[in-house]
Amino acid sequence: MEEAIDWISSLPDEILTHILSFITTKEAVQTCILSKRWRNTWASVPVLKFEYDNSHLDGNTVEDLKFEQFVDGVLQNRRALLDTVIYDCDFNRSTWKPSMEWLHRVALLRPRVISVDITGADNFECPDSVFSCAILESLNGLSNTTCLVLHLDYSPELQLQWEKDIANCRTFKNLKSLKIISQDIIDDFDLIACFLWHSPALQHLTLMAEIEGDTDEEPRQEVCFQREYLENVTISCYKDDEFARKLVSMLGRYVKTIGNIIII
Amino acid sequence: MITLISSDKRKFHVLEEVANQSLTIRDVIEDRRGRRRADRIILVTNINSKIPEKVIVYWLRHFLMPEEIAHASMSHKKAEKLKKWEAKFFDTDIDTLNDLILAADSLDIPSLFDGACEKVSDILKNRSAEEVGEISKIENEFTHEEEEEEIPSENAWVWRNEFA
Repeated sequence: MEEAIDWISSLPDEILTHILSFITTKEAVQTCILSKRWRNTWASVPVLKFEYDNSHLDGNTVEDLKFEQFVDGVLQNRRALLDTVIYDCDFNRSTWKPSMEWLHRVALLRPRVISVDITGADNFECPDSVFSCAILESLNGLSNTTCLVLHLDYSPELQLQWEKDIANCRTFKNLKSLKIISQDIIDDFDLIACFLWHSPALQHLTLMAEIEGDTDEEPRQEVCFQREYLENVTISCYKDDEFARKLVSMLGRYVKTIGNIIII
Repeated sequence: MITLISSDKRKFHVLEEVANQSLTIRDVIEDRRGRRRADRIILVTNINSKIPEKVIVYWLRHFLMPEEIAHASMSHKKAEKLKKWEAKFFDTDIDTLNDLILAADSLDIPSLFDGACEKVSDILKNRSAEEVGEISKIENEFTHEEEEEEIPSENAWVWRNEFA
């Protein structure tokens, strides 16, 4: 076995990191004590594979904390950009707050594929940086999600990317419920339109305006599609009813019939 | 038909369509297209004759179903069979794996490269931190201070985390 490790050590860096991409990140990180050659090798492995069986746990346990520290440590010590990130754990348990922060940090490493297992989850929270990652080809698991919560932080550059990205590579064929939390919902309307287009099964749309938007601004986008029906729309904003009515009329450009509209 | 010549001067005649699975060879053939027959000879000087034999066996097995593999449209039964075949193919000594990896790398044969690398990764698979530590004791050039202090503290988050 020593011989084998010794021999692997003699391979060039890019082959070594490729070999390490077949094992879990936990196993890869442990190689840092093998020798000087291996000390930082794991940090350039193009694939991160986090495996953690937490399905039997209730949350907030010591085990959870250890896993959180581990993922934090890995993300802090990464040296290179990523190709693929796989979270093989019950990712979006409602008690588990760090998941969104991880997705955000991972998106900054510009991966080609992000794969999350959210089969058991009833909703999924996703930071906007994931959608603005230009190189991202595939969000495995996410395209199967039935409920999506998006937090949008305003940024003009990101805005341009969204529409293109979602249109290019994602159809949310199972998405039934979408919640968008945004600082400036009028400005984010292109993105909402995109979801209306690419989520054929969508039934419930919730729009939450966190601060007052600018009602005077007119929507810029040409309307190039219209869906037949959307069952429920909930609008929650601090502004007066006029603002909510404006949102409804904007939605009306993309949806022929809306079943119920609730304004909170 | 093209001819591969290994480092120990053995010749291997392969159908062009088969050898095309190496992206390097495909590019070379493309570059030389329309020229003399002598140009269809490719020297693979960095590998001995044992490896071209294995690589050609691998090519022939895969040549029969390249489309199906690429598009993952293979039937379940066929896929199982191929998996079994590959497991046997890669079940070999470390020197051969080493040569296969280097050959697949230089000839640019992605699936062969992946297969061989994955086989090698098994050595590191399913090992606890302690076991990895055990292995490292053998060929360890870290100084005592590094081993006792620097590395554990630098990577404290690695060792603290014996989660499930």
